[in-house]
Amino acid sequence: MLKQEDYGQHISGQFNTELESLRNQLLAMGGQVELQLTTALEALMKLDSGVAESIVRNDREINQMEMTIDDECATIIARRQPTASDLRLVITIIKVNRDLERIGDEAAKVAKQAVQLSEGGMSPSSFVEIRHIGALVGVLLRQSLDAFARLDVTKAIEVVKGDAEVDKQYGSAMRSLVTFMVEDPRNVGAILNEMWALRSLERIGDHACNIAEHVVYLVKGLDVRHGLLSELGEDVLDY
Amino acid sequence: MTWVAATSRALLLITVVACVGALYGYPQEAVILALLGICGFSYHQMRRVQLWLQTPEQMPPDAYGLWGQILSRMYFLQRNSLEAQAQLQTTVDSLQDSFAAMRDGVVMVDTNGCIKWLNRSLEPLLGLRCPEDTGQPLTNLVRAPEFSRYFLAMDYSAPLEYLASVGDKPLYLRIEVTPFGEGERLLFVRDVSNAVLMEKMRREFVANVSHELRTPLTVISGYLGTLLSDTNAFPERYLKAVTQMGQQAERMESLLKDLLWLSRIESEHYNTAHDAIDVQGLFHELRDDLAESHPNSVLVLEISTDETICGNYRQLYSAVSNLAINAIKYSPEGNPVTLSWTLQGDDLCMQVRDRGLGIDSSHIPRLTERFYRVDDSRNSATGGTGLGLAIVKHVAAANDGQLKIESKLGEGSTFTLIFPARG
Repeated sequence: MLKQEDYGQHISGQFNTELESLRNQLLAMGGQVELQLTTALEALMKLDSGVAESIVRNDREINQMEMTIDDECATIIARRQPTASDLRLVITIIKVNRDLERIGDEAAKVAKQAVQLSEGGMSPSSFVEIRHIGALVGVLLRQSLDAFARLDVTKAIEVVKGDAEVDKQYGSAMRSLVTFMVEDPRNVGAILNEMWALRSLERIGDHACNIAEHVVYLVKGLDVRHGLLSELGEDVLDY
Repeated sequence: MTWVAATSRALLLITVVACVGALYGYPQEAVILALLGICGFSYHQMRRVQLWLQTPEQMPPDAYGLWGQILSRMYFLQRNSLEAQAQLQTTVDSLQDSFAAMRDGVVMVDTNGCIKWLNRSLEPLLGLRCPEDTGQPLTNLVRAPEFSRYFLAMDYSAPLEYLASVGDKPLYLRIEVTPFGEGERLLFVRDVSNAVLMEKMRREFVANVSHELRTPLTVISGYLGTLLSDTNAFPERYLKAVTQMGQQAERMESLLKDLLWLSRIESEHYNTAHDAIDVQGLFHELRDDLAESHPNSVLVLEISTDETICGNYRQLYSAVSNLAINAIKYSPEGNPVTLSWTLQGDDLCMQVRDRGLGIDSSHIPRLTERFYRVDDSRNSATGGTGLGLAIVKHVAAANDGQLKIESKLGEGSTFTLIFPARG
């Protein structure tokens, strides 16, 4: 099992610094992505179309970060040929990197829906569902990144459970939105925008869940994707 | 002294043994025997010291002569250092306890940006866990880009205030960083949500009140205008009263207008429309406007640079016009007022200069406060609202500039808006 102190155990000090800096960069990117999500959600709540510019700028920054991190991972693999937990760390960083970039894209999509909704007027649902699911997803994303920073498997399991909850809420939100559409066809446009935003939020939840699963892989060396983690539950701690 | 005693005792022993040996005819062997004895005794004592040093908490063994002295001295030194250590530990503990008991969050960060020590109050503020998070790089756990930028820039002259979302509801946090030692930093984190909300409420309250008061006032001054337009039909004895009511209503309207304008500048602080401003055009527009409202004024324009600045045109216009009108009001009639636009080093200066009454230096620090007046009697004569300079100051702040006031009583005043030149 991997522990926090295990980093910094290499004979080559340079290698330590490289791995540590990679981790820091990934988490800095995580911070940027978290900001992107908060901004997008706020824009949606306030129907504010003025955020578009900052969202686009932020998205560009996130993409740039993704490319830098990928490049550095490749350099480390080529030059250091990492093994065991170092290899797992590099692999995890590559995967989490990709998930984070996707989350950034999904958040940008939420903002796009916000801009469209701000032109079309308020949706009849008054965004109760989005507010709720958005808050849940924001917490999931933060927890998954915290779990990665702290190498905390218990937290990672919580994230996976939280994502199951988000999926459930997403289902019922969809049903209630369909009811709105049936009631008054004039709402269909706005409701469709809202559904797209919800869909993006749900995807963000899935990506956060992926990050949590990567954390389990990093710490335990155990591949728990595709539902295995929810099956194992707390038992994973014993591996 | 013991050293001398111990040596003489050993010598005495050797001499006595040598004498006895000489009696029996073996003097050399006897001396060797004595020396071996002394050596053996020393080794025995050394072994006892070594055994004791393995468990130095216990009392040292009894020893004879010099060895006894050495042992008791060692024991004494060791007890002293233990006591000093305990004392130091208590001090450190009580210091950490007092930090731990603080309601503000406290983090100590080492040269590499890793957490060295933190208190429990950080859990609800930054989501840090005490003490598990010790050793983690701080920016890995507090990932808000605004915080990372501030923390990594190493410039802690001003505290950082930012909106953090850790728990269910967003918090406004104020972060103060004190560098100490070699690259170590001490962070104080405080929740200032209440203060920020209060400030917001105050701003909104002023804006709302001004807005609500305007509607009834418009009705009142409208009717007063109607009454005054036909003075012939009006009884003579009420005429003066109604005329004054009309004047005061007008004054109140301009007050409310200024208040609303001020609160708008304040709330626009973060999203000012930034377009390049043609200062020359602004001065010309101002001169044309003032020629109408103050026909006796003399306005001199000095434009020595064609640099432009980024900012909000409406706001800057109102600031300069406030300054110019003040200058005209407080100068003897016909005295020229100079508007200048110059580049001084790295600064662009927009200056309004008059040779009027001037202001005593004791008033200058408070001049930009709302409703502050140098002299109460000035109030009625000039009919200002008392908000002009407050507006100027806020406009300067909203457009990345500063307001500088220089004045000498009797010689006139100079108000300068300083903006950084665009590199």
